[in-house]
Amino acid sequence: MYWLLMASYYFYMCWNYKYAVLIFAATLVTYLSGIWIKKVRDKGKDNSTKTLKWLVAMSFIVTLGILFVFKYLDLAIDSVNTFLNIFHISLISNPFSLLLPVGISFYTFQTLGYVIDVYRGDVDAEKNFFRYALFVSFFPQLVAGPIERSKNLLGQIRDLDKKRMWNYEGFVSGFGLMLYGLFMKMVIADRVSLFVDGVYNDLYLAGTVETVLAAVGFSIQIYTDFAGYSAIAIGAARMMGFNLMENFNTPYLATSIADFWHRWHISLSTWFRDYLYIPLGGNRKGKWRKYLNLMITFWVSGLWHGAAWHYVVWGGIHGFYQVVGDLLKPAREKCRKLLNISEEPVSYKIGQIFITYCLTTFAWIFFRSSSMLEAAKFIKHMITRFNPWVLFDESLYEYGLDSREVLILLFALCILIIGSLIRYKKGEDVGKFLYKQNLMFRWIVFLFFIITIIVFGEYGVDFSSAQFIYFAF
Amino acid sequence: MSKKVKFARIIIFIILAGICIAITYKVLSWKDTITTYQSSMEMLYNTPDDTMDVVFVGNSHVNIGIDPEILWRDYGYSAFDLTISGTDISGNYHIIKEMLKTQSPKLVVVDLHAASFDNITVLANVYRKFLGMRTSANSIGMVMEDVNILNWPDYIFRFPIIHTRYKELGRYDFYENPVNTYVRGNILSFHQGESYDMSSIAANGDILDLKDSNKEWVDKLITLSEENDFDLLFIVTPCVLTTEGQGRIDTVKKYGEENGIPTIDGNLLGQELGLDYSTDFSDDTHLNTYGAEKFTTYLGKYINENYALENHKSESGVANPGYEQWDKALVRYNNFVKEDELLKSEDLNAYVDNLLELENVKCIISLEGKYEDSIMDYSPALEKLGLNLNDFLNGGKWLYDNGTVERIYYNNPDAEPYMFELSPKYAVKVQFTDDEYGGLLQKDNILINRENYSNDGAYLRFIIYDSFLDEIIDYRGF
Repeated sequence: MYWLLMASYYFYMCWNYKYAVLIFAATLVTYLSGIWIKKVRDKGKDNSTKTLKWLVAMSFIVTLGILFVFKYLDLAIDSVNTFLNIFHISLISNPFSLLLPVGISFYTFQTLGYVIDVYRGDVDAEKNFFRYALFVSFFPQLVAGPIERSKNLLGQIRDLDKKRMWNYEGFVSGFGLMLYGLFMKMVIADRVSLFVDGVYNDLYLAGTVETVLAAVGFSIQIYTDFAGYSAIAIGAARMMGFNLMENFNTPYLATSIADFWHRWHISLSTWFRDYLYIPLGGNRKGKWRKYLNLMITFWVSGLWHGAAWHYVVWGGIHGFYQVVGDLLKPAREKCRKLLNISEEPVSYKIGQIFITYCLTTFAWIFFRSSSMLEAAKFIKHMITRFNPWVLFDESLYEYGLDSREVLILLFALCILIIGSLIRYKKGEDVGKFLYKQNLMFRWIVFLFFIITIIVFGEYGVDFSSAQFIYFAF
Repeated sequence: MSKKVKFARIIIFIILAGICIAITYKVLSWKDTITTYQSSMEMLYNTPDDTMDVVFVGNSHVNIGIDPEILWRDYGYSAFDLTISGTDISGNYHIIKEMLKTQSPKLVVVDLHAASFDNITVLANVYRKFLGMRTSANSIGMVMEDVNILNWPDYIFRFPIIHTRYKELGRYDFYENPVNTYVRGNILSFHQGESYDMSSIAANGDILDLKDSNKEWVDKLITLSEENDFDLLFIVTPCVLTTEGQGRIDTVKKYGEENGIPTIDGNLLGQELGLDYSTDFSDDTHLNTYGAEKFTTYLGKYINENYALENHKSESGVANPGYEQWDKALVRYNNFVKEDELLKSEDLNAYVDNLLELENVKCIISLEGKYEDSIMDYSPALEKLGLNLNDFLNGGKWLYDNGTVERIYYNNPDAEPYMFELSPKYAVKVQFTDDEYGGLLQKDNILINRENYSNDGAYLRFIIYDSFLDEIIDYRGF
């Protein structure tokens, strides 16, 4: 355990050793909160509920305070200044100039989840500080999730001293999953990002085809980047004998926006469900309150992803989709009956998947754009500059991917589709699926991934390989 | 499944993965594609142990300006050019260390050009320096000495740099360029650059102090020479230098002389070398093969007079066992000199005369189109090759092979294509597809490995293949 803890802190300090203080502070505060909550509950005094709430609030203030200062202070000051500027009042300046600590949004949410779990009595407060520190800083998932629950990961860490965690099956399937994740990240995400960046960098000249392809490209990029990283994290943890929660389950095969959020960044969406949406009242307080709760949850989710208003808009669009979808449900049912559309054929499901994909891809435009203005320009070009001939005059190859790279990308996407279908149909990730296959086949696939990543991965001196996108959140 | 089996599986997989990665590395490994995959380091690795007596060390100035074949031809000295283009003093030092792993030369001749500058500025030369050598403690040491610590993994593991070579893979990425198996580290260039202003070639350099880095370099070379029992000789291969560069070299020369290391400064030997600045340079900083012959001949004479080196050729002129590479390199050198004459011939008769001089060549001759008006011009040359007027009057394709010529194809659109191999590397397909110009503009009448070698605008076409080099050396139309 101590080795893992040291390795985790070393891993984190490789980015910026000073910021280890922050993770340590968040760990200490929530650890003490947990202990204190347990003590108060054990004493069982009359005013204990009030004390408990106060303790939870204090730990929220400290950890969210750290998050606010390091992530949202700039946004808050900019927003205030925009308001002050209207009235020609002198602007305020940011007293700090801080770099965003890697993974801060992930570990603060993980620690807060722990405090709430202890408060609710779902888990016992951890007495061993080092054990708890490992739960917060466990390196495979430290910088980009999954945001683990104390019930799952802390429980496994507690068992570390009692039983042997390492097992052959986990090692092999974890290795396979890691390779698949690296393949998604290095061969697909970073390659398609060259095209997406090319279009965004030259947005002034881009037309309908380029913008549509860039939007589709970004939907692939963000998925393979983040799901790739999650697969690496889950695979690495599994190789060491830990089981982390699933973070992605074929999200682009979702049949509705609500279904999409059951499949996309599952650790975050369930966190918001359990610790924000339900405490706000969920769907228990009437239809309109439910819609408000949904909108709040998605606005906060947007803000969690980035300290800029276009992220909030992106979250808002997803909330809006769900509210409108729910409101129009009777009308849609009527239409369906009127047009005699059956839900049975596979084509109906494909249609649902396609529509959901289009809606999420449209929303990604706000996520990828650097500002609302850029998103507006992007959509304007998408609508007003119809230019189908660029599909044939090879000018698309000038956006960062030549014909060879496009072929490599298409081939890699075929493998991604196979991997997705395995998950969708078999209900297990690629690592576990491969473990069940014959040794020869498994080894061939492993070797294929290794060589493909080494040769076709976007890394090294000729490429300024994009950072894992989710590191910034 | 028992623990032993699980463990064994993991080990076997690691070995398999290692083999696959090694094969992938072999294909993707950095190769000097600018010089058609020729690499002095590869040539070193292909040389039998303890066969080199004289090793010339330096950068492109040595690579192109000193031809070991001449020392072999004139004295039977087994010399080698150990070079990395554009490399610096550190690169020079480490390639000597690399060479000493397998060779025990009596004399190491170091070109001082590298002492005239501090940093390698061309990225390709950085790659040459750090990626051309096999991975070893020596190459890793060079990386650790010269590269920013943040970039160590790029140069030590190499894949971060070389993996994008999948975009440029060619034939010699999959098997070794045969040239690397016997050529002695040099490149032959017959290119004659423009007539450069070489007035500054022997200019006096600035008066400078010896740089610490250059002093340290010379000290390390002396230590190497003492430890490995070889003599050191400094040279300056003729080239234009800045006055600062010349000044820096002068300080090293002086320091070398103080330590008993003589220097032959080619820049000060213009008259003695007999260099013609209009014909003996390929550009203002590099000799060509004509200039290299003059400078190497001078060096050979100096070495012969000052060092007791063994003649490794027997009296009959044939190499002792183990020195075949030097013999082969000399045959190639002689071929190249003759072929250069051929390539420079602009007149058909001179071209054919030079072709007849060549050994180890095959030539496809093709006559197509409306050549009737030119036939009398072609006639004398074609008759020298053994064709007679009645034969070539009807056009066609012939194969000239070591003094004999035979028709291989009539220009008949109905005839089946004729196919043969010049070598396992080159498959030839000859056919005739007519057009309004009598096939003249067809681009698939002669295909070699699917590449067009048809008449393509010329009535008379020669395609010359050198069986020694296993290369098509000329494709000429008249």
